[in-house]
Amino acid sequence: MRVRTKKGVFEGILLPRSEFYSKDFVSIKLKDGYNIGIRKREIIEMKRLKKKVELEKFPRRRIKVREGLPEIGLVATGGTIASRLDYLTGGVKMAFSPEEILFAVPELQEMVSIKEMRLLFNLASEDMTPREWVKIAREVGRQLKKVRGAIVTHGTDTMHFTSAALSFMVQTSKPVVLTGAQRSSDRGSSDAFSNLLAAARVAGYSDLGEVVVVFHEGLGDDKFFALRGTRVRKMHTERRDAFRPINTPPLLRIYKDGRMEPLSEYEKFKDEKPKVDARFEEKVALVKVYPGSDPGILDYYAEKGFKGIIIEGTGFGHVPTQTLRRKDSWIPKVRKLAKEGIFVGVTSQTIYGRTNPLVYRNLRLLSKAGAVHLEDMLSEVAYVKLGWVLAHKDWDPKEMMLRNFAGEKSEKSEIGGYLI
Amino acid sequence: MKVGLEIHQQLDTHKLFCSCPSLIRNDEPHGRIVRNLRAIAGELGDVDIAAQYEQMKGKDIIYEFYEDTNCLVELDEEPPHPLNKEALKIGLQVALLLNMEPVEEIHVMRKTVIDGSNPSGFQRTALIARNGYINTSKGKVRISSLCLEEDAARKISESEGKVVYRVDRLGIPLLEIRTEPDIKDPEHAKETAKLIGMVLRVCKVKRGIGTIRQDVNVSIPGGNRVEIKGAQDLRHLHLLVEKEGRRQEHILKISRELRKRGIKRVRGEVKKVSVKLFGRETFGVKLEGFKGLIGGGEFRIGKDFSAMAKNLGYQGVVHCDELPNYGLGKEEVKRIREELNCEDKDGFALIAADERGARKVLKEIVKRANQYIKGVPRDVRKANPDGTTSYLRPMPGEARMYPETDLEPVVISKEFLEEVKRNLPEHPKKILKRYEEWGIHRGVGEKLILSGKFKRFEKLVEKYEVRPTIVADLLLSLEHLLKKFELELKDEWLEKALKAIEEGKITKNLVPEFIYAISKGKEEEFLEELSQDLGEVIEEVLRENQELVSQGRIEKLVGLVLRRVRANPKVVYEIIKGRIKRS
Repeated sequence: MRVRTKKGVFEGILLPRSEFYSKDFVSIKLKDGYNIGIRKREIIEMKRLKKKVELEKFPRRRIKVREGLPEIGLVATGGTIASRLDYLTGGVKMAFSPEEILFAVPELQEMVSIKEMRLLFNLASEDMTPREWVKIAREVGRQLKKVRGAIVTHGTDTMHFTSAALSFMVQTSKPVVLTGAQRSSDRGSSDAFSNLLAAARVAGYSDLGEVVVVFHEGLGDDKFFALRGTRVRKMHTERRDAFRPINTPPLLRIYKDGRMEPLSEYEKFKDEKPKVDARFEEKVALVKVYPGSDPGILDYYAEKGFKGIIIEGTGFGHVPTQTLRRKDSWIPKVRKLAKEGIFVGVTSQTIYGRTNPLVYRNLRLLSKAGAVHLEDMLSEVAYVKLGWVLAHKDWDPKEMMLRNFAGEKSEKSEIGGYLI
Repeated sequence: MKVGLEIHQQLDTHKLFCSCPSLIRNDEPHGRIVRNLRAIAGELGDVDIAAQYEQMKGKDIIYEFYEDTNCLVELDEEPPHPLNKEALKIGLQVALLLNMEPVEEIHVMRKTVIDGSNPSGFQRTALIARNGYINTSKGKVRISSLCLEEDAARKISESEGKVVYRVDRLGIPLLEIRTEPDIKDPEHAKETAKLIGMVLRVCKVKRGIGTIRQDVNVSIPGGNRVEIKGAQDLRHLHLLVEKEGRRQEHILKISRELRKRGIKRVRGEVKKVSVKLFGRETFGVKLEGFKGLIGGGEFRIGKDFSAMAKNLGYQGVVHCDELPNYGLGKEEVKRIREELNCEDKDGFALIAADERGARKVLKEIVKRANQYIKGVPRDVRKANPDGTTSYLRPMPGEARMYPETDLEPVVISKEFLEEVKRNLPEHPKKILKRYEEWGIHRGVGEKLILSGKFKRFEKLVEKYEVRPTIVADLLLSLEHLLKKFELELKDEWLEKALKAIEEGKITKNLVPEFIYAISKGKEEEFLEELSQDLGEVIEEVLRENQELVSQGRIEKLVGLVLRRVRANPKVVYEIIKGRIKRS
């Protein structure tokens, strides 16, 4: 394209413009590769020199099944690890297929044999809902019948919700490894590649038999953690080592050269078929209290027919209780819900530590109103577990919420489980 | 001859995409992290990048950082913050002073770099102005582009399988100024660089070693565009351009000779030879027609062969023109020639390495030899201190650039541009003209600007009733003169000296001694000694010894003065010298 303006002539490729950019300019890629914006008002004439330029196509790699390597499965669900930049326009393409990932990490095929592979959907993780958890769980369960371990690639924001969901829905003694990326894979420094290799190491070679998240241990590409799926949380918006274990030590450390070092107790690998129990009651909610929070929100959920609520309380698991203005107290509403048979569970916003129903009078009042303090369970995990528990009509919610299924709670409060 | 310049200048602001200070440090870093870079799918088809990647493959890249002056952005742990507005302003000032057209909407781009110098795997860069020029004594030199970019991390060390960078330099705002190849000769290159350098210095830029880097493109008629990295200063630039011209002539001569010998192509069949170089398995390749053309002189192409091998991680390339040597005698050379089927005019290259490596290296050398048949290869070369250059890599193709999607384009509004214009520093040309009116030579004025001392100069001229030429002279020479006293100049000392000159207590020539006295706390004594009866005695001696005065025998006169009064001989010398000059 040649653009003649009041200030001179520009030659280059006319680019599509982001919907978020000012409408007063056109974008053009000059011959030396730089993009600039030209004010439309200044343009006298635009002339097309050549036909459309083809956008870049990314090579794909055919999956070779190698004999003698551990056989694993791969479930792709979207997220940064799966996003791909179009180098010409800068647009993000979401259709980054598992084959394309493999092209970028050819070593993967030297390490494991990817027997099963499926792109379920291409979602940013904030767009994921419990319906997708159920689909992922079924696919993982299907693959685990044929392979020794599975990798799930996933957006990072809600990865810890999905890892909790899989922990409950897929009862497995084989490794199920969730991983993703904090830096997009268009750049040479992306953590996608090294995370994927570490994940494959765990899925293909470890003696571990549970659902874990594998991510960078620190800022370097040399060490990785395998973290229990029900005890992990994204604790930083942008760092590569955003995923941290909560209330419990990491399970494994994985080194770049493939060595694996156990850091605490975990369920051991057994070559047994998984049991899939993928169901979810969608009428559950996670609610946060804070100074000034309106307990009326509980009425809303009750009216909408919700069957269970997790309240993320303060400290030991408090809600506003003996407030100066009576209507600010959450206790009457909690009591009302509990009476109606709506399960009310309590976790803590402190993230770390254990809730307690006894230490303070206010805690006892809440407990007496019918709320159940969920020990040292993470709020997100409690929410996921509640949806799963309530989907079983014949289960007693309170009993099941306090029963340990997948390491989501423990009797022992680990000394070394804080700020790792 | 065609010469173009590419000048990189650091700006004196905080970093371009975060608020960290632009601070180079040499104390112990607070931490280190290990990273690995990889080429990504879309780039594997790109030859330059593939080649770079080949070199970086499996390499650990260590980044050293300081917790108090670096942040997550530099470590590629956080998206960039918005473009530093001050740096942009300075960039636009430079653009206007170089008669350029600012871009209306700036897009920050990612330029793929995979040598590890950028933790992200790319360098952020933005084109901010185009189409400028400067007037030189030999006509206009056009300036094609001005880019604002982030400086790369600083390489600290490199060893096998490992390279260490420090991120202190990473992200310092950098202006890249590129001229068209309008420069006509080495002298002109020097002049052009100086003129651009002065424009930069009147703006807010960093000074000191490493803050400005000059690359130069040279081609001679029949030659090719060769880019030379890392000219240290203006004098060096002159030498580089001159020698590069001669190097290209040398290669053209080789090329002509090869064609005269009827050589159309070097076939490049690699064979194992029966002799051993450095006690190792040795492979060789025949280079048809190259006998006598590889060695000899400062531009010998054998050096480039070695540099190419080194890029691939191998050493020990030996060619026909340096044999017999390295433990190989005449007999062995003859045997090699036979084994490689060399005819009379044919040359050869050998390497002691494992077969895979040897083939890789010799293949590159053959490729190179074939380029010589056609003429001057398009290289990127590194400047050596003696003005010669070493082969670095082939000239890269079009840089792989794509938009920085974490940032929005920056619109250069009319208001913003007006503000930049309002605060535009005075053009060096105007400054020099003003200085000339003050009786200051053009060369001295240029030095004041290039050294960045001109602002201080003007303040001092305004403050003290001292001739501007004296102020300029002191500013430019005093630091050097004080070296013999092992003193570093302090502003207040200079001001005291100027005040003393203003009050007629000392002359310009006495300033170093005066400052030395100040540094020892003996300022008053020095001035007293001067004022005492020293003046009278000197007058007396001069009056009585007219003959010596007319003969200019200052030492003798000093001796006579010192016989009558106790004084600093140096001081006496300077005063007498001053008197005689005046009379």
